[in-house]
Amino acid sequence: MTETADDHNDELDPRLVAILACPEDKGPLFYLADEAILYNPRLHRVYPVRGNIPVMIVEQARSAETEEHDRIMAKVEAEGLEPSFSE
Amino acid sequence: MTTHVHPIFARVYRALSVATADQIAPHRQELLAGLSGRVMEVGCGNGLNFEHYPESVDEVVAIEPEPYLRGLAVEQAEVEGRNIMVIDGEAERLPAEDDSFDAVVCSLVLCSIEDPAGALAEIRRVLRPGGELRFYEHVLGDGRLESVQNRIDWLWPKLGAGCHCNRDTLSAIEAAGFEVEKSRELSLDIGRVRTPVSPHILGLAVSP
Repeated sequence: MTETADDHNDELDPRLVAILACPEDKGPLFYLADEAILYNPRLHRVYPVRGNIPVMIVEQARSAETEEHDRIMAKVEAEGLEPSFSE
Repeated sequence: MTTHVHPIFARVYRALSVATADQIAPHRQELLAGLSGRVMEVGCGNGLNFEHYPESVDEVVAIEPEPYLRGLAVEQAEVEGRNIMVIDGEAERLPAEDDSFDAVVCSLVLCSIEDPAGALAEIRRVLRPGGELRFYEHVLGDGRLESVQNRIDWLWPKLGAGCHCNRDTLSAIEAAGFEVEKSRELSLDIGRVRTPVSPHILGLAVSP
């Protein structure tokens, strides 16, 4: 693999996403590739993906307010995004 | 909050790991021999294990919280050109689904984790039943060395970014509910000199 300036826009490997869980509640996440985030809808928690590396550290995640939660979940529904795994 | 950023230690660790790579490479090979399927490496450091994963391993998810070492691991994963995916995470709170891995590798990492019992419980959670924990760790020795290790352990973690030189890791693995299938002791000396981090264990344990 060669490193290019586009690497940061790459999507995560689906095989990696398929095992990713929230480190706190261990449940599945929604991966929004275009926003480079992984979202836990139960805890309203946003995990960033920086330079194509998921940052799965609770203290580095941020909380989504109701408005952002509703926006993300509407997008999940509109685009038919699946959770990282089924519970 | 625990900091995982240890810029000086990370660079010293890298230098040491490169300097001792030839001595340790056979142990890394032994650690990883026979693994297959999906493997998690907890605390992959600068990724020196990566080249030793056998072909039968389909994918490796490698977790490293220290940013400098993680960057080197990403480069190493690219060099290997295999399915090695590096992520930022913590052993005590693994970001993975239950029962999702065939094996977990801990290589010179349980010495430095703040809560080894918590980490081992998490490792059991992500391992499928019958999955293996492969371990290669420096541990508490015996006799005179043991007493030296215990006496200096107030200072050691300050030098080594939380690394403890007096952990009885095999007992911790058993206490977490693993069945130790094999473990051998080895001494990594500098020349002929035993150090507080000379005694090592290398082996495998099964999550029932």
